[in-house]
Amino acid sequence: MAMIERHNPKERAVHSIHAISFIILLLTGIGLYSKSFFGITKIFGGVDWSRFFHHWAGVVFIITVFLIYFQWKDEASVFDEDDKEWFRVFGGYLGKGVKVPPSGKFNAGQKVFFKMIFYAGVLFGITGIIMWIPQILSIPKFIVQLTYILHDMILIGLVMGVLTHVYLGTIANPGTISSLLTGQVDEQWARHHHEKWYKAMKKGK
Amino acid sequence: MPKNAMLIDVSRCIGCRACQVSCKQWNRLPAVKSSFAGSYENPSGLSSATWRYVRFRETVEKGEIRWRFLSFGCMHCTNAPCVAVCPVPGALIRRDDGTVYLDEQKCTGCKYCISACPFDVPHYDDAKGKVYKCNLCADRTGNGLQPACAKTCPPEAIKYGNRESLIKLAKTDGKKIYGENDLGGLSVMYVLQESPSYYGLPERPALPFATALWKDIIKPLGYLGVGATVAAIILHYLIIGPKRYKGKEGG
Ligand code: HEM
Ligand code: SF4
Ligand code: SF4
Repeated sequence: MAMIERHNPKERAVHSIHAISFIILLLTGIGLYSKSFFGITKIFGGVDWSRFFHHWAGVVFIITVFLIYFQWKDEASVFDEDDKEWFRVFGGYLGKGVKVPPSGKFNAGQKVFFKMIFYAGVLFGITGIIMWIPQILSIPKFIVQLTYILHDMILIGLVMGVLTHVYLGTIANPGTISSLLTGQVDEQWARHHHEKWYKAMKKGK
Repeated sequence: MPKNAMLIDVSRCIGCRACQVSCKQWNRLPAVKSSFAGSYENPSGLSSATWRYVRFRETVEKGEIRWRFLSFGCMHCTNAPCVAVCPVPGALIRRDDGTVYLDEQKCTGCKYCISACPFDVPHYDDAKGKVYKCNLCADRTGNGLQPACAKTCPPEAIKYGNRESLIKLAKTDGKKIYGENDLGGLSVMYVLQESPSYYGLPERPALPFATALWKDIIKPLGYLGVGATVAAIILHYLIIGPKRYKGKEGG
């Protein structure tokens, strides 16, 4: 099986730290979402530690949001005509054997997720810091109440997005996960899913 | 309805601040450094080390100085917004006797209660990383004693006892009570001489709208959204299935 490099070690390291900090944030945050999830804080040694990890994983998360943005923005933040067509056929995900237009390094759906992560990450950071130290920043109470709503709305949207992202990156598209684990993907996979990128890579060699 | 309550008749208050001092003494709270801001009020508000203070309203009317006093602290709401938002089981609880009790040992200092309280009562202590407020002298009332402030008040402006009888007594004197039914009934009620807002009290204390939206709408929607996503993924996998690329050309 001929392989081709999809993500270099730096790209993969950034994505891994980003993902791990997200999972830590999710687990430490969810303990405060509702009293029924409070037991989860035990994993981290109680609610005080859980909050400690939430705050500092948040700092790591927001840094990686920017690293991800800058490492992939050239490929992920521009949409072309094929991407419009991709949206029209929903990437072929709503049926079998649908003809899907060729994609670059990222398909149109991935580009949307890329945008979502960036905006959600920035908003998470802003609302999170306000929730963390409102007394130091002298934030009016009404704004603090709003940040709780926003933090939860971003959370809900992002968990929905990340669940879909993980599904599409694993069992929904066999052969994809190796791009994160080893950085290499099957050339056939590349031609099938990211034809324009594959051709450009071949030409470049 | 809570069993016990405190009724503060401000028309009897002489502004002596004995309640403020006895609260500090009983709860071993340190003095707070304050500065003069043109009023006899001192300190100028509640803090993590001041759980009761006397609010001064000094106005001049027709050349006469008018003084109004309000001994102020936690109102011990029945449907307390602070209790509704506290994420730590047992950190902030409402007891049957009417006390809203904040357990210093369990509080994690997240400050959710601060944002939810319609009276701006809980305060965060930066050094200790926890929130503090009046516990209605639970350690005294639990032993059959009155709260320190009620015990001390020389003109008996602060009365503590059975809620029903306190209300009945005030009503037979023809007095209007603040907080009888708000938020399920406050366990600290006032007989005021002016409108509530004159004293800086909300006219109709209630759960803040944004807090209700957060707890009662957004959070339940979260379960719905995440549940729907998981369901959609499972259905997609079963009905449409994965995109296999092997043995296919192009896309
Ligand atoms: C820069 C990023 C973030 C910062 C600074 C931040 C900060 C905070 C703060 C200060 C709180 C209040 C509780 C406390 O003081 O411990 C909180 C709550 C919470 N956070 Fe975050 N957070 C961030 C990102 C995230 C992410 C990525 C997730 C989920 C994956 C998340 C999920 C939650 C949840 C579930 C709560 C529970 C409280 C609620 O229901 O609003 N946070 N966050
Ligand atoms: S006055 Fe504020 S702190 Fe006191 S019980 Fe009501 S909501 Fe809680
Ligand atoms: S600061 Fe303490 S008492 Fe207030 S909501 Fe958070 S854990 Fe509960």
